[in-house]
Amino acid sequence: MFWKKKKSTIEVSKDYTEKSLIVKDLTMTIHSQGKDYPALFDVNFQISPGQIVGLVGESGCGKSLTSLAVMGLLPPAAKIETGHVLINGQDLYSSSEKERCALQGAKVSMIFQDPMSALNPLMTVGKQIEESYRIHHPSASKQEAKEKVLAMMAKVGLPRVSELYKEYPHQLSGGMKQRIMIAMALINEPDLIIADEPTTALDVTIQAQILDLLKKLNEESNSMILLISHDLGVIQTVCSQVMVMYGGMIVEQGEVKQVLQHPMHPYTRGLLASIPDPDKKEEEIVCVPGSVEALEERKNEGCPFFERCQEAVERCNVQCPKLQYVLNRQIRCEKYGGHLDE
Amino acid sequence: MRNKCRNKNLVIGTVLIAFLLGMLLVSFFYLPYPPNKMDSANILAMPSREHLLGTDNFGRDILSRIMKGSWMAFGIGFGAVIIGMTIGVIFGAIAGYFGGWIDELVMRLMDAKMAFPGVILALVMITVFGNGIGNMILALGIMAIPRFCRITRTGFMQIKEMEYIKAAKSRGISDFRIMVFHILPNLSSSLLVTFTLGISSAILSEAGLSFLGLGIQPPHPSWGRMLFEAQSYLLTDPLYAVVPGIMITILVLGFNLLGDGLRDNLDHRMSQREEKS
Amino acid sequence: MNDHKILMETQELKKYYPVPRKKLFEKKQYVKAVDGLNLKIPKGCTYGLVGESGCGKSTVGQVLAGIYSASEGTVFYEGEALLGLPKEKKKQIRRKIQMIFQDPYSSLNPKKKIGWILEEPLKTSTHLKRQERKQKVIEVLQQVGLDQNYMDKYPNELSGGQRQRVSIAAALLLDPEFIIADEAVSALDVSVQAQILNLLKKLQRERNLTYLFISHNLNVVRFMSDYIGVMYLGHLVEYGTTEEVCDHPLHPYTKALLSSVVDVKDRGEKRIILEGEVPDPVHTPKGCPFHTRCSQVKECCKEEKPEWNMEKENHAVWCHNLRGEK
Repeated sequence: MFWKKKKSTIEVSKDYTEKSLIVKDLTMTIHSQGKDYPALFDVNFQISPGQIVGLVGESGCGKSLTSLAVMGLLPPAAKIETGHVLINGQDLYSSSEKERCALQGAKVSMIFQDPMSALNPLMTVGKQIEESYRIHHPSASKQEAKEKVLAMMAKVGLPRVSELYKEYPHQLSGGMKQRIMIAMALINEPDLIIADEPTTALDVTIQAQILDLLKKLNEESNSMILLISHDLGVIQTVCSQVMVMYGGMIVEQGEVKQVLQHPMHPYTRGLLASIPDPDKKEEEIVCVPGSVEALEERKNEGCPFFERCQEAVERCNVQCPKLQYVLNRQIRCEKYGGHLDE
Repeated sequence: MRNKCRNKNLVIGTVLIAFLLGMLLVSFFYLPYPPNKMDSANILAMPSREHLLGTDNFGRDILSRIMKGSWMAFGIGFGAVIIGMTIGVIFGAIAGYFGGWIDELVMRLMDAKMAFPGVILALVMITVFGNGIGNMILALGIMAIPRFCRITRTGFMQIKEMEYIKAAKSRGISDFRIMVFHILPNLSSSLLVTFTLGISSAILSEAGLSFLGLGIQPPHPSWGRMLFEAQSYLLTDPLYAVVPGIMITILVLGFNLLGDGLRDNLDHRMSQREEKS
Repeated sequence: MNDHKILMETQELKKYYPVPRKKLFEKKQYVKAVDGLNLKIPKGCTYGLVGESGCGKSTVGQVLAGIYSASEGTVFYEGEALLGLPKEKKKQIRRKIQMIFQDPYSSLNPKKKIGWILEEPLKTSTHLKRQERKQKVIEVLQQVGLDQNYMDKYPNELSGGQRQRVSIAAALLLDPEFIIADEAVSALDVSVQAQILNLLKKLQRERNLTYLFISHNLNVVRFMSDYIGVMYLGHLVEYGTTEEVCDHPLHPYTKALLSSVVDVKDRGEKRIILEGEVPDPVHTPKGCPFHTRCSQVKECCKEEKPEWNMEKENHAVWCHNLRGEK
């Protein structure tokens, strides 16, 4: 099996404790019906403080799995074959259980897609935020915790916070619930925030508000944000770096302006061309044929995009291209392999 | 496949019910003795080669009566639940689908029915309409209506809001077709589970009524009736009471385990399907 | 709109849903999902209806498709009022109006094979024989880009895009004239979404269909539609040709909506970010429904409902700010 070929031998020095997220050579398989399927292959990226990095791709491309791996919330069927996830220099998967818990709770937090189901309906929203604060600040007094929560609620732009503190999730609108989720994620001042489709369930005008808020908070707190979205427009609006995933691999990675304005990988180009352009109403949208293959149907050899790629050549079917540096970005495509290297 | 084997309830339930069904099947073709034949020379005999499970106070062969009694148990169980399910599903479907005052009316009717303890209702019916197998089945069937009605109503209320039902409506499909062909098949699994659980409770009630001397009348062999007759000889011939007791236990346990097992299995399959999609 | 015959028209259409009472003697309250809507949909065109969730756009679709009946107001189809028509005639018209739903995972009955789902409307509304029905189903499946092997599959064996194609096939079976697409592509991935949009356009050309295209995604609506209506809290606030509405928006809400769209192309405009949220549709504000969030609010907005201003022949707006400016 090709994904088992190499063992990562990266040794990260233990004293590297600066704020950062490094995902190194991450390869993961999912066990299903007695077989291992490659779900992520050779994922490499890095986030430094103050950066918002976008992860984009269609459903089933591995973007949620990547976020779960960084979060340390892998499903039981998933297994890491090689690679490391380093948060502030600490390896998430070789630390002891206790260290891991401390790392996850205090340094990493997550904003979920659906604020309706991520909040406990039987607990007031204030209490929910307070709870996640007190877990990591057990010594804080009740008064102190409440003040902290109210300040955070105001910071994420919620109105009349002292009343809202006592309300239940069902009394709030979708946008307000998402703000509560953000407040909950920020209350422990995490270094890394993973936002999984944070605005997909919201209306456009509310989406604009939330994206604006995320951007502002990121500038203020100098945190790292990994933003997962299927919407290239969202990525364009808030991110500085973007990674495009397909079939469990990063196929193109670079600065947002570069990648989205001058896409190179056929898949990135296909994705961008698929967005309907109101100025070209009379034309048919040039789209990527077919749809994403299920994990079980994924082949083990060659480029994962081969079946849907219109520029594929013979070699693409047999050999999986390597991630290359091409024109200030990284790209995984046979077309740019070799001759444009360096 | 692995999951099916892990589901112990389903396996044990199936084995128990298969054993009883096997006995039922054999009894159609072969009985050791005619079940009502009295052998005055062998009253309350212990198990022997002629009478494998001994004889009762009239010298009747217990094994033959147990085998013949399974007709009654299965007949009453299935008969009552089929009646209850038919009426309950119709009422529940109408109430759940149309809602409003129809729903209110049907549900209050069911509440009224639930206010009577089941056995008392059966007692009243038997007193009014007379004692007989037909009336017994009817009475037990009516007892089973509310549980089917409630399950169907809840299911209809949930599924009628699904988009595929709206889609069917927008295609001009009649209400009747939507109810029968679109919604009902989606409830088949939960109805199946209720069906098996219903059978065991119907049989238990039958045994209870017969034990009180109100259900099946002599000389028809019924497990409950046999228990009733055996109680006077509990100390002298315990086997006479133990055998029908065990049979009732096996049957009720079998159907309950089967029902639980089916539910687990169907739930599991449902969740798997959802994961896939 | 002169060069096109009006296919469907609504006059003062209202749809109120009762709110379950919490206390016994509480006054009965209603969610005003649609509150007096006048819509004119020209034949052979695509009419896009946009707005945020809870603005009533889906309710409009479902009322027009006959799933719910209107609380008040009239719906005209080719100039004939649907209310009060004899049952047979009404059924005939209903056949010409079909709907495509949002969620390809819940709009197909999970217990039925695709063939059965597609054949059913033919069984109940036509007198075709079995073989003819099957032929027709295969024909329609081919039109949406699927083959006859799909007839024996269950919905859970298909991908989202394939399911949406089946939903479109189901809508096409009775040869409709008017198709209501309620968020028909919102649940799909971008590349699949593009395929379905292409398919919808192709079918429109081939069959001269009229679409009511309901979506919250302005980009998609702009791409698909000839006319756009913008809804807010049960009211239409602006309508006109797509170019007019999108290039020269007049209503402050339309302006905010257009500028909220996150686009890959950097248009370099300052984003207008609306304050607050949509009010609760049970207690709708007096006067103009948008005045609670409007940046150009005036005194009269809080008291009176605005009137329609015909800016151009193909562009009208429902706002106080434009009254008397001409």
